Amino acid sequence: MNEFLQVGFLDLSWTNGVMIAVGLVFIWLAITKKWEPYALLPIGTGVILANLPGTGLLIQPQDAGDELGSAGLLGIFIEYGLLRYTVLPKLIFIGLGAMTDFSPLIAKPRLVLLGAAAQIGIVIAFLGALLLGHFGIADFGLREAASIAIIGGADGPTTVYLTSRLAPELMGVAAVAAYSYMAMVAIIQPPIIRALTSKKERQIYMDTQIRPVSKRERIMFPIIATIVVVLLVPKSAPLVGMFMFGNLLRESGVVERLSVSAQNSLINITTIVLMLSIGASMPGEVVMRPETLMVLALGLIAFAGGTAGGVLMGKLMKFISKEPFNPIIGAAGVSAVPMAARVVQQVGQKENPRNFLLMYAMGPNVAGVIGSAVVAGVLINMLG
Amino acid sequence: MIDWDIAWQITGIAFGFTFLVLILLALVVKASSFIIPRLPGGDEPEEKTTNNNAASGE
Repeated sequence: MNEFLQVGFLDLSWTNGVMIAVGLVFIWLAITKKWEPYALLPIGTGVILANLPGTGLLIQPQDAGDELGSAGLLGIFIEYGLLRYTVLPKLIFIGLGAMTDFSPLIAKPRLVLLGAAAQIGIVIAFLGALLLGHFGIADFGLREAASIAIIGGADGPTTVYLTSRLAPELMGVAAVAAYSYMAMVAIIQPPIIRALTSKKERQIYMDTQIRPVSKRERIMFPIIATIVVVLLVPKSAPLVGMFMFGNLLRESGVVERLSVSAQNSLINITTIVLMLSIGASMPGEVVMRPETLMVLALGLIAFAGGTAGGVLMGKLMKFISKEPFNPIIGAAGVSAVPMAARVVQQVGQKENPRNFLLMYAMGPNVAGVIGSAVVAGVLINMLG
Repeated sequence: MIDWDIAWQITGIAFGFTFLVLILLALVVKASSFIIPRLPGGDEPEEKTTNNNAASGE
């Protein structure tokens, strides 16, 4: 009978069942807990669709043969959006650029050091993954280790971009880890901040005024940043170039419709397709392996390490700075815009109600985005 | 088998080079902030200052 009806139940494996449950949990977290709903809701749906047997949704055009219309929608998204051309994360970066205000970074360029230091989490996870590979605990080589490590950049699109280039088989898990940890910054970061700083340090009051930044400076920044960064790391151009292009749309003030489109329609449509594709990259037989748990654990270590690196650099800058400097703003150096900056604001204000650290924290926060895109470019250059 | 020599090289270059790129970017931004206001054509800062108090509702 199944030959005629093709009932999916008969082909449902236990791994599919588990993954469908995982997809349901993602949707539940998105709706009831409001955890990264823009990511987890479509990812959860993608996971469920990818694990329902017999749909043909995952058939990629290259595998579809000559029969017209036989490629599946999610397979088309995955092949063209993620694997073959990696269009989706680059498009997302245009929208992110259009939504980003670089004023805090332009006003205080030294804050970029915090974003740079937070990339240490990537190094820690890279070495950790290689150690697991070295001892034969997991089948991780250099490319897989780099893809896992970039989770520490706490930047979803960058993780997707790098993983698609270096270890596509880890795509779904790495992306979900990155977005999940971004959703959990309010849980992960405060204990690390408190462990590495004294109450007195967390209470440090910083002047509430950051110097005003002129329109010309804001227009020049994306142009200068593109030229400087891409000249040094050409392989970062797909991310940094699109990020800065989006920002130029915003700051130029002459293409309002394009800026609004990038901030809304473009990023919304791309998010739907990207997140569905990420979810669909997680069929049970690919995900239900011990390596998945290791990727999640290493991603968490990377994220925590990045937070610690930023805070420790903040302590160093406090030591050097002539003005009062609250070291906790270093925690915002892991991208996760703007959640990490908000966590810093909340922790700082809890310790000292006079503190308004958000604008200071936005500096390392956006520097972290540039930093992780640069690391991705460097890694692709060496391993791609 | 993992080639640890290459692994350490990648680690050092990825982190060190990223650090250098960002420091260079900060220096260029600092320099441009010094030069841009001195360019002809006038470039008044926005009237509204970047005030942290506005963020207190976050």
